[in-house]
This record gives sequence, C-alpha cells and structure tokens, in this order.
Amino acid sequence: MASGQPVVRVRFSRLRFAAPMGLIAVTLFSAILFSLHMMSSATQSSHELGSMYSLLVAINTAGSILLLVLVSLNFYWLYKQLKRRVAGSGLTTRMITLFMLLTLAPASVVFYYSTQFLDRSIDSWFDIRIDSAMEDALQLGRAALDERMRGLLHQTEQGAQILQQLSPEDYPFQLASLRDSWDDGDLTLFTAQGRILASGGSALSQMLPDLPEAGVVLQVKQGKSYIALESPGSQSQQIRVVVAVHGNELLFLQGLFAPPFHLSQLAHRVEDAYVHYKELNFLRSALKQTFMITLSLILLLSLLAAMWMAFISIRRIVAPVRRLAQGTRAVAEGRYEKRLQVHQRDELGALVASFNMMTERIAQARDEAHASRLEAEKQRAYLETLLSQLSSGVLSFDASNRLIMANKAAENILSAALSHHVGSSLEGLRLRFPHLSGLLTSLESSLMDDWHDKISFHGPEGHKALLCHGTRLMNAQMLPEGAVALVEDITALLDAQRQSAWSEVARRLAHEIKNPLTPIQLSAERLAYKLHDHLPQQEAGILDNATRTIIQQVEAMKTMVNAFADYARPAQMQMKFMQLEALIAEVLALYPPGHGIQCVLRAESNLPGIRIDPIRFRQVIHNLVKNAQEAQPFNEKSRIDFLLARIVKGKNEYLQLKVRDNGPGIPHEQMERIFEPYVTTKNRGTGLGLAIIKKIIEEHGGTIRIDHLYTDGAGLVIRLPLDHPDGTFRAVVA
Amino acid sequence: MKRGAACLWLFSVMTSSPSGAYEKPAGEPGFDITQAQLRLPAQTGHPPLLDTHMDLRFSETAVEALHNGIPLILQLTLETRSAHALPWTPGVSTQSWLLLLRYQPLERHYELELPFPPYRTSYLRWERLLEKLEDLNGIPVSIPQQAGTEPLVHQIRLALLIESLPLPMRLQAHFSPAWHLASQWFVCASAD
Repeated sequence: MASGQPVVRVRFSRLRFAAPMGLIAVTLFSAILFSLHMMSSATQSSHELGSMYSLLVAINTAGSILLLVLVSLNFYWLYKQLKRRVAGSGLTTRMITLFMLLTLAPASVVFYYSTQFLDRSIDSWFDIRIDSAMEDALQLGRAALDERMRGLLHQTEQGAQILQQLSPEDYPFQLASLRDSWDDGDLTLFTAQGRILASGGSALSQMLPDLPEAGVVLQVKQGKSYIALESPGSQSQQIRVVVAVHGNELLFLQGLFAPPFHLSQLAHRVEDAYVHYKELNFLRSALKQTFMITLSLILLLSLLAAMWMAFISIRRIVAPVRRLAQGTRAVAEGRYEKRLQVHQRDELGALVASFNMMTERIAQARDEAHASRLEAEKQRAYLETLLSQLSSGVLSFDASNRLIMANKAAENILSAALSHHVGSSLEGLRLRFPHLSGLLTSLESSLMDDWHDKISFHGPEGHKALLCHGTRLMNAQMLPEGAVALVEDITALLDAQRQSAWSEVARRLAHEIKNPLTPIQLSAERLAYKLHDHLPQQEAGILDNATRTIIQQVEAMKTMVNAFADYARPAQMQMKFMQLEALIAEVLALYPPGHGIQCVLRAESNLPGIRIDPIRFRQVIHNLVKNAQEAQPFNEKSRIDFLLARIVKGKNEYLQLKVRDNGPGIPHEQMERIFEPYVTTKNRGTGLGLAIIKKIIEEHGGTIRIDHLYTDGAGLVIRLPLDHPDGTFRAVVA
Repeated sequence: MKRGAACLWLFSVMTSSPSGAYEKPAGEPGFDITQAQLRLPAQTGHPPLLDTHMDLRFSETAVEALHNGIPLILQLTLETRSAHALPWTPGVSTQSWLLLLRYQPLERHYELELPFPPYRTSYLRWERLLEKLEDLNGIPVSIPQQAGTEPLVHQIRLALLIESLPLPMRLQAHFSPAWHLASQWFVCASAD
C-alpha cells in the first residue's frame, strides 16, 4: 500500500499538468480555426466581417507569430535535447522531420497551384473586349443622354428667346405655357442675384426651386449655356439646363428635366456596372495580394499549428521510449531500482510494464547475488583469517598448476612473497624464487595426487626442513579442479630433537666417560711412580712417555667431556638489561690487533638496551672470535667484523648481529649441520663452539643462521628480540 | 484664469506644433487645418456653428482610386476635452461627420456628399470640389456644458478613413503613406 502511494501522486500531478495543456491546445486551435474562418469570410466581401478584416489579419498574424515562437521554442528544445544526447531526442527529430516532409511538401504543392489558380482566375475576370464593351456602353449611355440633353438645351433656349420678347408681367403665364407645351420639367426664371421671378413646377418641383450654384450663373453670364446631368439622390437623376434671357435685365432661365425613365435606369445600370468593373480592375493586384495574404496566413497558421501539435503528440508518443531508454541506461549503470511509470495501455505501455518486471527481477537476482557474494566474502575473510593464523603454510593451485592462494605462513616459511604472484605458474614461481626450485619441482610432480613428503631447501634464511602434504581438489562433477599443499616448517622441531639427542649424548658421555678417566689417570701416574726406578733407563724412558701420553689424553678427554657437560647442562640464566654494543666491545678488547686476528665492531647509533645473560653472551663472543681464529691460518689480513643494528620484521623489533670473517668460509656440504655438536671444519677443537653459541642464542629467545648473502668468508646472522619497555619477554617468531 | 490659458497654450503647442507631432511638409500629400472657429448663430436656441478652412492635398494614388470608382470617405472629428487633460486621456465628448467623395463616370463629374445637413453636390472639376471641401462653414455642433472651473478646449481633425476603402485595398493602404491622409488635431478658436 505504501509503495503505491507515490505512483498515485505522480499520476495526479501529471493529470493536473496534462489537462491544461490539452485544453490550451484545443482552445488555441479552435480560436485559430475560428479566426481563419472569419478572415476567409471577410475576404469574400462579407459586409459584416469586412469592417473587421484588418483586425482579423492582425489577430491571425499575431497568432502566427505566437505559433512561430512556440514552434521555434520546441525546435530549440529539441536542439538542446539532441546536443545533450537525451534519450528519445533522435527519434523525436526523425518523426518531426518526417512529419514536416509529409505536411510541407503537399501543402507547398497545394499552395503553389492555388496561387496560380487564383492569379489566373482573377485575371480571367478582365478582358480587353470587356473593357472596351464597358467603355462603349458608357459612351452609348452618354450619347443617348447627350442627345436628350441637347434637345432640352435647344428647347430651353427657344423658351428663353420667347421670354426675351415679353414683359415681366407675362413671365409666369409664358412659363406655364412653355411647361405645358413641353409636358415635362420645372422652369424657373431668376435674376443674377438669385431672385426668382417666375416658376413652373412638376413632380420635380419643391417648395423652393433648386437654383444652380454661383459658378453656373457666372458661366451663363459669360454667354455659355449650362446643361448637366445631376444626381440629387442616390437613385434619381435630373438634367439641369440654365440659359440666359437677354431683356432689359439679364435674367436666367433654368429648366430641370427628368431624363427618360427607361433611359435613366439603363444608364444608371451601365454606370454601376462600369464603376464596379473599373473598381475591380483597379483592385486587381490588391485583390490578388489580399487573397494571397489570406491563403498564406491560413497555410502558415495551419502548418504552424500542425507542427506545434505534432511536437506535443510526438513528445507524448516518444515519452515511453524515452523513459525506456532512461530506464535501460539506469539498468546499465546498475540502478535496478529504477521503475518507469505506465501511462498508456497500448503496446508501449505493455513494454514499459515488462521492463519494470524485468528490472524488478534483475534487482531481486542482484540482491540475491549480492547476499551470496557477501556470504562468500565473509567465508573468504574467515578462511583468510584462519589461514593467516595458521602456523602451517597453505598453497592452493588451479587445474593448470597456477597459484591461486598462499597464506602468510607459507610466505614466511618459504621466504617468498607468493601473494604477489597469484596466477603464476609453477614454472614462473620457480624462475622468480630460485631457492624454491627443488620444492616446486617436487610439488609439480606430486600435485595431481594426494601425497606427503619431507622436503628441505636452502632459503635466504638458511636451511629449512619442511613437511608437505598435498590434496587434489575435485569439483561437483568429480573433475580435477586444482590442489592444495600444506607446508609445515619442522626445522626448529628437528633442531630441537637433534639438540635434545646431543644433550643426552653429552650427558651420558659426561657420566659414562668422565668417571673412569680419573682412575685411569691415577693408575698411569702410579705405574710411572712405582716402575720408573726399577726399570733400566731405556725402558724407564718408554714408560714415562707412555704414562705421560695416557695422562695427556685423559686430560684431553676430560676437557672434551667437560665441554659436553657444559653443552648438556640446563641453562641458569642471569638476565640483565644492558647495552649489547658495550658488552661486545668489552670482549673484543681482550683480542688486540696483534693477537692474531683483527676484530672490528660497527654498531648503529642510539641502539636500545637488551636483557641478556652477560656471562653466557661473553662466551658467545669468545667462541665466535676463537672459531674465526681457528678457521683460518694466522696472517695480518685476518679479521672478523661484528655489525650490530636494529631491525624491524613485521611487528617485531630485533637487534641483529652479523658476524663476518674473511676466512675460507663454510663448505656447502656442512652448512646444514654446522650448528650440530662435533661438526667442525677445523683440525682442532671439540666441534662444540657453534653448537654452544646456538644453544645460548636460543636460550635468549634469538636465532642464528648462516649468512648466505655473504660470500667472502663465513658469515652468521644473530637476531635477538628486543624486550617490551615493561620488561616482558617477547616470544620468538623469527 | 492665467493657469488655464497657460495650459491651453501648452496643449495647443503640443498638439499642433511640429514639436508636438509630425506634420507633413507643404506640397506632400496630406491634410492641414489652417483655421477653425466656433461661433454662435444669430438666432438664439440654435447650436453653435463650426467654420473651418483646410488645405487638402490628396495623393495621386487616392485621386486615381477615386477616378476608378473607389469612393473616398473623410471623417471630420470634433473632440472636446479638458485643457488640463493629458494627451492619452479620453475627451469629454466626440462628434464626427463623414464626408463622401465620389466620381460619376456617366455624368463625368465629382460628387461631394455632406451630412450637415445631408447634401449632395456635383462638380465638373476636381478643383472646384476641393475648394468647396476646404471651406466648410456653418457645421452645427453640440458642445458639452463646462463643468466646474475646468476649462474645455475643442479640437478638430480630418482624416481619410482607410477602413472605408474596399477590403482588398485596406492592408496595402495601412502600410502606404499615400493613404495616410490625416490632419493634426487643431484647436478651434471661439468667437464669443
């Protein structure tokens, strides 16, 4: 219910927006049609609308301008949409172009032929023969009237001659007589000042005779009789004749005659027709222009209105397509929540509804996939945490023996940054990490099966012994998918086992061998004491030599047994916090340069203090110097360097002591066992020196290994963990 | 009184001088009212009479149209307005008369139809008709009574009615100076 509310609101708002637009469009269209109809009627000389013609033209012109502005705005809007590559703008452009072609082309053709037809139709109204006929008809009318007028002039002049011979008293009778004899007209006799002397009226007569204007009187005064056809009313005509009456006084005789009715009517009709024709002829070009303007306005208004309506319609038609394109773009951008509004119930509406359904399902699938991915991520993170916490190294490979994963422990055990080479083949790893060559070769031959093996290799941190397990991985179809190898560093375990064994050996040696040595020595001394004086000199000498040899060898054996006893004795550590640099310098001071080997100490400045047993650590330094002295013949260039530095490995800090001499170095075949008791490269010594050093270093929580990077002699690397400031001893990780 | 006279002068200047409105130069087609006077008739009880003298210069186009049967209708308008009124304020009263000019080809004369009183006169020559038309005397007018102390001015104007032309000519006439024949407003003098 809640999800449906926005849709309802949007629809309401759309309805509120759409209704006025439709109403405006219909109203405007109706107004245009009405105005066009009015103008068309006005053009057809409708009397009522004729007076509004200019107003109608102005209204329709304003309407055209308004529509032109609307259409221009729509074109501008379309241009902007096209420029911004708005969805649906291309389709709108194509449809508008098509619509314009479909409307403009036929409309232009119709307009062209209409104007041609109009032009020729108007021209066809006029003809030179009609012109001349009209002129002839008018001339004929004039001639007929002139004939009649000439007769009336002659008649009036005759009357004036009669009046000239009469006295003024006879004027009225004579005028009446003349009028009776002529049977027509109004006769008036008046003076130059306009005083009427006599008058004889008829149907034309009025209360006061209509006297001519002063100009007429002047003309007659000058001896030129006046005769003219006048139209006192719109439908009536009269012939006015004014002649002079020369008597004692200059008088004027005016006669007003009605033209013959039939002739007057005919002449009037001819005049009307002539005037109408003449007017039409005069207005010919203006008439064409008017029709052209009307036609153009009608066409322009219709086209513009149609184009505007086309814009509105096409926009509505394209709207679902535009919405679909926007929706598709949203889906392409991963916004599957996009829902399109369905406004139509046609095919486009169904398409939009289908799109909505599709996006809904995609969103659902996306959410499920997301949840699965999150779960997988969680599992992977858990697995990674688990693997990182494992002390055993784990390596996984795909079916093509490419490395997929290696945990931190594997990197530490194998001394190789394997996580940086995920995806590398075994061959690639072999090239990148040469010290793993043997191990990788073993892995390659064994990965496709379940296996376990002990493998040893020499890495940057010395010899290591590994216990490896391999398992083949199968997918659901029981097809090989890869393999997992588990690597465990058992070097320390083996060392511990070996050291334990040697300690046991040493303890037994000390116990089993040391005890008989004293009686042997005492017996040899007693033999020498008892027999020396009883034997001849030569035999006494032999006895002395023999007993001395026995005593010396017993002493040597005691020394060796004591050394083994020391090695086997449990540590009694007396830890002190002190500067290792000072302790080493103190010991090396006992070996001055002339003593047989040059000892050099180089230490970083500001090294921290460390908790060590000074007595036992002095033994370490002594053993190291003695070892170097015994390993090489005495010469001036013999030297041993002690390089002390502070290093950080992971989260742990160490004091690292590198001991390097320039002797013959350690033979390769002895490298694995150099720290074991009774393993030595020298002709003398017990072979316990390095074993005891290793034992003491490990008792301090440190490590010792051969420095493989040093090749100019023998090199050892000792690392001692630095204590926490609070004094707690840090667990050895290295 | 002095204030009213000043306003009257200002109004006259604004409406009849070249600075107040465009006036066509002499010789070019156009109408000019050179004199207008309102006078009381000799008999009491009769309306005031308007006498005008005008200079009417019809364009050749208009005369040609007249000869081709197009009647020309001129409108003479008398407007009474307050002397203090702004130019765009409507007048107190307006009175107008239509003067019809026509050419009769059969009789070969010009006709002038005047409405005061209805009167039709024929002229053989165009110049004679113009003479008559340029001096219109004794036109009876009705003038509203002056309300309060507000002085009133009376002004007249003569113009050719384009809207009375045949329909096809109107658009063309609206845009052609040959048909824009109208005088400026001219303030009538009062002959008290």
